[in-house]
Amino acid sequence: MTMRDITLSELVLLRPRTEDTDDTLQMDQDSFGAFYERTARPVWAYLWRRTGDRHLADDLLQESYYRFLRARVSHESETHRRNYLFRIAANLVNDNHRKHPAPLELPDEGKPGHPVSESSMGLQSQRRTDLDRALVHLSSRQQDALWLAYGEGSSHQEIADTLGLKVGSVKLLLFRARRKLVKLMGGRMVEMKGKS
Amino acid sequence: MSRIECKYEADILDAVASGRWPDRLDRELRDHASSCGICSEVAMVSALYRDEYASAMEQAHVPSAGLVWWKSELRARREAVRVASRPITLVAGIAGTCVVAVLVAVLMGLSSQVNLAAVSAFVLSQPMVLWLVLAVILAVTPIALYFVYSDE
Repeated sequence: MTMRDITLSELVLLRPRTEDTDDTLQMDQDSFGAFYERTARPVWAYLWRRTGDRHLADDLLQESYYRFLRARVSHESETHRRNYLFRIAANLVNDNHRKHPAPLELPDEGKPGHPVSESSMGLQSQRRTDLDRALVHLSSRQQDALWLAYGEGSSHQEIADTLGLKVGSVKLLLFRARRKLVKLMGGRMVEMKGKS
Repeated sequence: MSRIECKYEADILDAVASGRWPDRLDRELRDHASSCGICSEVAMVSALYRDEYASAMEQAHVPSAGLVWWKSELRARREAVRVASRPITLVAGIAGTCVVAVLVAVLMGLSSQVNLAAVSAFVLSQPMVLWLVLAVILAVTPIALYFVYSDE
């Protein structure tokens, strides 16, 4: 009987069974590092603006990536992967809002719980206060859609993938959200238009 | 049914993103935006969110990828250990219940055969026996528990 050298691919097949168990993450560390560098700040920005709490945003960021790494989902493109991550983050934010509903009116600036208290920058701060006061009257889904469309610059298709909606529904959602926001901000919006 | 989108929306978004809105907009688009409710709303909201996004990105100080990876890996392992130990806990629970049931059955069987009044009278007349039995139980219990709960 002759012996032959084992090939690398055969060696890979002989890897310990433990790699297939539930404790594995669905990405290697290098790929994760590169993906994280591209996505972490936008995801954190989204979480921070939706929760208004820096520490909660930190926690939800970790949770989002953990769930992303554990999910047994095959991604066909970088965009799909990114949309999936945002979908997890959006679900976490909405779960958090269900558990701890936000007050309908924001606390005054400088008081605990106000999202802009941490960064005061004059006109920009005032503008954000106005926006925050208006946003509490929008649904979570409307807020998500507005942020993704006009903050992230995502296409209707990408927003549809992220929020699990049809493209037609996204268009209608954005239309209603925009109209409501403009109505709620009223004259302040026109003022900004002149200053922008 | 009223319109919910406009074919110039993308141009307006592009103008806001490139900083051409509202002063450096070409005449045709400016004329359109001033008469189109949808485009004027898109412009206002996108200009507002553009600033919001830039400001939020400035505030974003995220942990390193290595730290997030390490925490995720650690949690995944803990989760795996928890899942793996679930059947062991279940079996231990069933075994404990069986032991208690057997003890109860044995005691009930013995109580029907033994004259409890005579045993009580003996224990009361010889209290040293009772104290001796209690001392043995107190001495043996920690040793038994140590062997049950120690890993090795």
